[in-house]
Amino acid sequence: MSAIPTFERDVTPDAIVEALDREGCAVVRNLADAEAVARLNAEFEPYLKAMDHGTSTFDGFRTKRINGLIAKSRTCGEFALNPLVMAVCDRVLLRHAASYRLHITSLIELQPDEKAQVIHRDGLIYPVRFPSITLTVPTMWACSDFTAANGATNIVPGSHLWPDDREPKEHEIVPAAMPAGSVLIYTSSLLHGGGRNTTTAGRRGMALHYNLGWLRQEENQYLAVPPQVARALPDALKRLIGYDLGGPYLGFVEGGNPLGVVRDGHPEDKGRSNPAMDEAARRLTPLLMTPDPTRAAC
Amino acid sequence: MNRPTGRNDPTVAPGPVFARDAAAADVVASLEEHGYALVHRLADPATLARLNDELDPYLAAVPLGRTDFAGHRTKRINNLIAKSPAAGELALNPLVMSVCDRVLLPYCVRYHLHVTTIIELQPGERSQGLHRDGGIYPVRFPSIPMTLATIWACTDFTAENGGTNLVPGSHRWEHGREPREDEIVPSVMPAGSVLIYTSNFIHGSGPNSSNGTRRGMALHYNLGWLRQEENQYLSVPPDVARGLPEPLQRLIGYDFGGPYLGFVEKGNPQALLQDEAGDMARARPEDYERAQRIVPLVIAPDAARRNA
Repeated sequence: MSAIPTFERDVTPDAIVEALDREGCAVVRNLADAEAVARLNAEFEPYLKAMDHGTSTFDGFRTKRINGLIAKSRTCGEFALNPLVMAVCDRVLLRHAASYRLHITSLIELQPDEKAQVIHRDGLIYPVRFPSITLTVPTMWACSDFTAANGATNIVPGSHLWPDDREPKEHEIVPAAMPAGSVLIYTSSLLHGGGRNTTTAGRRGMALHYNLGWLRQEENQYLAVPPQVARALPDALKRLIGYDLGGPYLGFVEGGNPLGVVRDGHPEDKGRSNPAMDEAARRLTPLLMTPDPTRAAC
Repeated sequence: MNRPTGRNDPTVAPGPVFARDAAAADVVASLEEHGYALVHRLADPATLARLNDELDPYLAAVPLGRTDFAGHRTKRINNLIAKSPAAGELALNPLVMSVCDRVLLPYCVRYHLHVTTIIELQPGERSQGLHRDGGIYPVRFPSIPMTLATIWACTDFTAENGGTNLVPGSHRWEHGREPREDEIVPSVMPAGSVLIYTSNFIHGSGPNSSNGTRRGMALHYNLGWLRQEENQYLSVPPDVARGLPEPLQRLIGYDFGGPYLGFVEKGNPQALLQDEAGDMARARPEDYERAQRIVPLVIAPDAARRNA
């Protein structure tokens, strides 16, 4: 059985990238301090109280989900910009894009008796054949302890290199057990799924995913965090959620950078590109995009 | 030259010039054969007049471009859906939608309006650099079609006034091949006509050596899983989008790009525009089936062109 490469909070980004390239996943234990986790949980408490359970097999009938987290929790924005996570995203996502974005934000609380979620790849939101280049980097922050018993995410280490149709055997599936404040990082090609909660308490995790800047985001951040809300965020977070160009010319508003919609009078916000974006785009290796010849339409 | 022709001889590929009653399948065949198609007078004179009237005040107020690519003697206006109901009507033109269905839907569950631009070349403007629109994504050419471009002639397009320069056949060229002067032809078409091409096709605005202006409206469409060139949610925010017809709301992006793709608060973004509680699932049931019939794409860096 493969194991999930596991690190402490002093790990280097390069060590995580090496683990992602080799196993498709990594856990960093206790990356967030207890105070930040407590603050995060307190900010979400009223939303979770008000929220109903899911209404589909995939979402889980005994699971509470909250989206649009950047508009709801200031602490969530701090987690989204975690320097170690950003350094990993820089190394993994900037291989194939001039910038990356926050793709989706979800708080996922498995209630007692929730069943295991079907094993899947997040990259399937795009029409790609696996194994694929990394399209997204998901992170799952443990807001409570994750244990094998309470539904810690099921992971299939190494499956990011598997062909599309290979199914994991029971012994290839490993729960990402980790204490609250830890983070699980993986890629769009890795097989995983929410675990089964056999305990009497909830299991709370916060999924923050990042995607290549030229792809559509899973969560429409411009509507989830509209300009009047985004205006109050730090500039780095405005950019991360998408109030920035995704590459030269990509994602402009009225011929300018969308940052201009949420801040005033910055000269950089005029124009449909800028020298840094141009340079970042120039160093990319062009991608071949071909319908899988073995799966040609009938 | 360039007179509209029908498809009289089935052994000859149709196009590239069509009359307004053209069949979508023939326009698509022309895109495959020549890389482009011109449909003469697809917009009626009344719609065209309305379009020009709606945009005149914006053009009067806009300054000239500031970069070589945007053109120093060119006026550009973006965000046309918020500015002109006639632009919205042309964006939904049935022939164009039918061509998009055939060209883009093999690769996506839904397509979106990618970018909207009025491009008015003033007298004395030089040629724009030839380019492929797909270059906005990091792809190697030739690629699957990432976008489909339409350029509506708001005035006549002539060889003298900057009719878009075209490189017939270039949609199949290998990455990096540059056209020779004799491979470039101007698009010539009367006002109300539309030029159609895909993200693989090499083109650029022509030089305007006349003493009149040349006005064109670019409406591009892209695969629904790609980021749009123009952020339509900020350009046409919900309070503006609410006033649009529902098909246009969906086309500009107030809808999923595929199952789960582009939701808001666990629902369809289009639900934001409704008074009553709308569709609060993260996918449209029919989208699962549409996603199933897409042949998965193999995406890989072009090893031969790996940058140093």
